[in-house]
Amino acid sequence: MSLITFDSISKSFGDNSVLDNLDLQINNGDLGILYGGSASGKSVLLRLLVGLETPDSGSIYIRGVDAATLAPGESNIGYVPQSFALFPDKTVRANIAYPLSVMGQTPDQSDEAVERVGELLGIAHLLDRKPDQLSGGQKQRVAIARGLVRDTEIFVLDDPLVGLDFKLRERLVDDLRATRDALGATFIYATSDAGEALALGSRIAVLSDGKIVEHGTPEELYQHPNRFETMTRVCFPAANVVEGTVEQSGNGYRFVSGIGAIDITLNEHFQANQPVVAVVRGEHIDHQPISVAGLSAPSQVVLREDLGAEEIVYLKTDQQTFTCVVRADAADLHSLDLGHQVNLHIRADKVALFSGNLRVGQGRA
Amino acid sequence: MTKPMTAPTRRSGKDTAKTAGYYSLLWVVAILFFLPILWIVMAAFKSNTAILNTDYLFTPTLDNIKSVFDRPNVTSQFISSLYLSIGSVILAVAVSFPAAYAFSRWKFAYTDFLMFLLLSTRMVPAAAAIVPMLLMFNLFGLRNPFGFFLLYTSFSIPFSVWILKGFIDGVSERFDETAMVNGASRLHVMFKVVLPQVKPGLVAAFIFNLIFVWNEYLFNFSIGSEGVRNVPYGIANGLVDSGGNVDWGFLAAMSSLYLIVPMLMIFLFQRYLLVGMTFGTVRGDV
Repeated sequence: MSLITFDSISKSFGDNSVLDNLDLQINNGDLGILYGGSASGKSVLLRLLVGLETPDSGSIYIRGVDAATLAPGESNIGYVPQSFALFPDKTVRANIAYPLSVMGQTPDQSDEAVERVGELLGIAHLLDRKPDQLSGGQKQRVAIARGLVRDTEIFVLDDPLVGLDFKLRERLVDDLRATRDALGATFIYATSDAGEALALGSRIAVLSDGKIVEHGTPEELYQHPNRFETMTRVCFPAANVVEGTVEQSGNGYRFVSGIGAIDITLNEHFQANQPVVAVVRGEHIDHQPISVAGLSAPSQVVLREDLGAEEIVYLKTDQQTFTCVVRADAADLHSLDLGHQVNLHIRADKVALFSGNLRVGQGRA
Repeated sequence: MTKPMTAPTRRSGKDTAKTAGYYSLLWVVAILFFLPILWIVMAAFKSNTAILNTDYLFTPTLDNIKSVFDRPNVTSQFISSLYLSIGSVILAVAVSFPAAYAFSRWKFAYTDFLMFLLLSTRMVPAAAAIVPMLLMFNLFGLRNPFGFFLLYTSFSIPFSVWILKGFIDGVSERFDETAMVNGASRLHVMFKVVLPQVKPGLVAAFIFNLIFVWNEYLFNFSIGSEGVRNVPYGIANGLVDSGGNVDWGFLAAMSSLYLIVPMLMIFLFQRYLLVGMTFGTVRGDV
């Protein structure tokens, strides 16, 4: 039996439907990621779980118990809200110990647990400070520590790293993974950052328009996404979309676009006259000629973003701009200087075809 | 190299002069406002002749202060003023805090209208309310300390609710939620989570209302009875002696003593009061 079950959950605020008949199971020991864009309903789903909202219909079962029978706080879940919400009048130590003090523990009794999570998150030296003496990253760690201090096996983290700078997020993602491994508990983590989702999760559920559109391991979702949102969003930078048409070619089909045509394999149920887009991720766009079939077009380098180990290069063709990921130590990086003309190439077998929201086929090399 | 270094120096010199100008102006205004208080406090230590001659150089005397307490009822007037103002304002703030919390957190229908209605009780001119109040206090037998305690409390509640709601609005509901997810009750949230964050608001509400009640004269004079007479009543009542002359020494001494409590409160709580002046509007979110 799963540890947490969302069974046909719907939730609206006025006329705005946020969650629509949503089903999701989270198993013991999962590091489950709820991934979705802003206003996709992630936070609402977590607020339902911790009892801060009630569903319009459907049920939530926590450890087999209907959450509707529990008040917030009775379900014994460690919760890290999106905002820091650190009590300004309390020290870091008292903030972290807060869940334990509500349970009736004295500072002496809670000190050991506070020190333990303080060590885990690298804030043990800040315990006697007040929140206004901390940096943004330190405050976030304190908020996470407060969520983790409870003696429980379920922790819910609502986009806890949002708004932090890239380097800090990277470090905190590492820390969170280590923390989760150390605690061996079930984590439910909402994020709108694909990098975070892929780096942290043991399973990812993609939330879109109030429904879980796809779920699986990071590898499954990254390598074989079946939904357009998953293909375009569960990656960084966002994938490139090429519009085109499907044409009959001998016994098979071809995808024909403004930057060339490739042979494709279509799913059986696909009707060839439906509109189709080809989607390709940035790391599968090359600026060197390739030896296999693919799409290609002349382009100009219009922007470069340095991410340290990698660079995102924006290549503008006469029809659209492609984002391309290049390793920062690539020998031919100088050929991608701003304003340079290069030919971009896309391997046919890296092209996924979507019609509407569903995957309908694949390019053939 | 010279130019960039001298330019800021000139600018900062100009700024300094400007700042000095502003401060001088502030000092002039502050002194102008303070002069009557200075006059009355100095007069408290002068003889009647020195007061009337408006002497600037005089031999200080405690005769006026001593004579104040020789008069009957003055001590009881001070005691009445103290317990009526401090007690009623403490009760008003204690009642207003949960009300303000409810107005802030539960956005029930007509909240704004109810808030307006609450404050509208303070828009009625006091003189217009005297007759109905007199009738009501007579009817219910409230022309006693208990009745005035209720009167001043009820007068202090609307403004306190308004001030405190502003402060509580400034405390993000995320604090409430964080506490509740961790098992806290609503009362715990109110008193252990929100209350410590609105201390400046509590102090501001306390001081503003204390000054109002401490200064209240009209109701005390018109519908009060012996047990509730306060210092403003005492000053007005003792101002003219039996010969029909104004007793300036008594006025100055009584007024100076009367200033001590509000001055002391403002001095003790000035740190909170300055924040409280903004009515909780200047606060960051979390």
